[in-house]
Amino acid sequence: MSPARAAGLKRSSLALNGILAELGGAVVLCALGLFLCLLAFTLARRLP
Amino acid sequence: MIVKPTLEDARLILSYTGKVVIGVAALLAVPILAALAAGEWDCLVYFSLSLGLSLAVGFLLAALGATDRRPSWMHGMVTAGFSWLVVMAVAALPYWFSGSYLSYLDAMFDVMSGFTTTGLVLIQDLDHAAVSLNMWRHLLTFVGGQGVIVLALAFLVKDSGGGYKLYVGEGKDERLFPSVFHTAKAIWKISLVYLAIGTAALWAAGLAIGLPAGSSFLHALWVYMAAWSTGGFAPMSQNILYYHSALYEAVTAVFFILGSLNFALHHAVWSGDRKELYRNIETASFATTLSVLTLTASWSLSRLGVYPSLAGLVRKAFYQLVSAHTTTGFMSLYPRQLALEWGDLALAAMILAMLVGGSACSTAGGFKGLRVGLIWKAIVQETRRMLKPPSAVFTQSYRYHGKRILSEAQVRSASLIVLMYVAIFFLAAAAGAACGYPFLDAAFESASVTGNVGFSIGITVAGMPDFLKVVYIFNMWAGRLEFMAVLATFAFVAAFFRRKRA
Repeated sequence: MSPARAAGLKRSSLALNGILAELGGAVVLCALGLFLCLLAFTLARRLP
Repeated sequence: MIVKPTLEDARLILSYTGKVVIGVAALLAVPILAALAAGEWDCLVYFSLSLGLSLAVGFLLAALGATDRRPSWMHGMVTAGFSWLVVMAVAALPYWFSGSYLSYLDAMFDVMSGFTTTGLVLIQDLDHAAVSLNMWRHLLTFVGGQGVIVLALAFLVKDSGGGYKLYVGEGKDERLFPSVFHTAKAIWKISLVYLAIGTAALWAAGLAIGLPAGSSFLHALWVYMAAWSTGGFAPMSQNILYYHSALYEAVTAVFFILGSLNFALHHAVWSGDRKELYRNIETASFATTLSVLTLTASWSLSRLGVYPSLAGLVRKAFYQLVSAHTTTGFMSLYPRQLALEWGDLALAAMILAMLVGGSACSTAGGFKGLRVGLIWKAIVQETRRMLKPPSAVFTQSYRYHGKRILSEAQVRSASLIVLMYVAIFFLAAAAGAACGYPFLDAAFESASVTGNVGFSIGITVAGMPDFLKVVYIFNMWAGRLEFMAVLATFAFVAAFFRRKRA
């Protein structure tokens, strides 16, 4: 049994938490992409 | 050599194939309703005609094969492989009747592209296609993402004993519940909840960029279906470039990233185990390969000066790369820009991203992050073995819904599947080159069909050689079913028609 299920949370609230966690994860991945593009962009301009 | 199958084996396979065909025929109710609502009376006629023909084929197969026997592994695998081919021929009927395709082969190519969530198209004049036809195209890709057989299992086949064998044959091997019937239902529940959320989000994004309310809703529904199933279809021939909107691109990216995650991972996170999201070997593998390839492609594009601003680089380089890596195939540039502007290194990064693909047991294609992770762990294990004394005993573990120990069998299976992906990728690339296309272009298009991605560098058009269309259909089919069902189908047919030895 997962910790949240053990704590007695309702099934519906669990799904909502899960959806928010997944949406957050996808946004974090996009933010990582933005950072990596910035890094590559800066490196490509600085290097001879 | 396998045991020569009996007529009874063939009947069992026909029976299950018939059930899958009936399931797909039932889906035709959706475009029929759309045709009624939109007043597209000619479409109503050819969708109804297709429904009648498909049901006839389905019931005929089911009746021919009626038997009480339960399927074995061989039956499950061959049914999965064979039913995808029959369904391709049946679902192409409305495409063919619509007159939007130059040949029946083109119509079947588009069905296979939709069902395998590839996203390449040969349709003529897509920008003016009927609402009901677009509904059918996107429904095919949405259902294909979940799995045609998962659909049949969830709603038609309640016999869970044999159902699991069909389910595995379709390239999914995670049981979220002990019963495969409940697993198939859980997969549909996750997809339908996200269907509501994703369509609402894209509808709002469409309104924000000035699309009329009705048109914005339809675009949102269709684009969402293609994003979640990592399909890559869009109602306009310019694909996502049509919207010219960073907001639209960002929303689609979020949903195709979610679509490329393992259904078992969705289920775990929805049940409260959020840590699995970043501990899982697949998400770690996906984030790592995506980061390395993003850095490589953006560095190369920046050096070439293709995108002079950071915003342009993110919107073009990162978006195409994440779209390729999740095997979605949404494009926010013209196909020929890839060939003429991007340069060899960025294209190589795209090819690798397309071949690696998303997660196992997801809507994505490619040889999957799980197998990359397992092979990486095996390389680490072998290196450790070389550096330690011969008598040392150690195990290599990985996190995949809890801690697991890496086994020889897992590594062998992962390596074989990756090897087969690479083999058919090279064969289709060679076929493209033999038809006169530059090798890098042929390799790009081959990676796109093999990984069920849908990016095109300009080769996939209605005028391409028929031979290449057949090769691409084969690669889409074999890549989606992860070979086992395809190999089983060929072995079954060969053994069935083999002469008895005296």
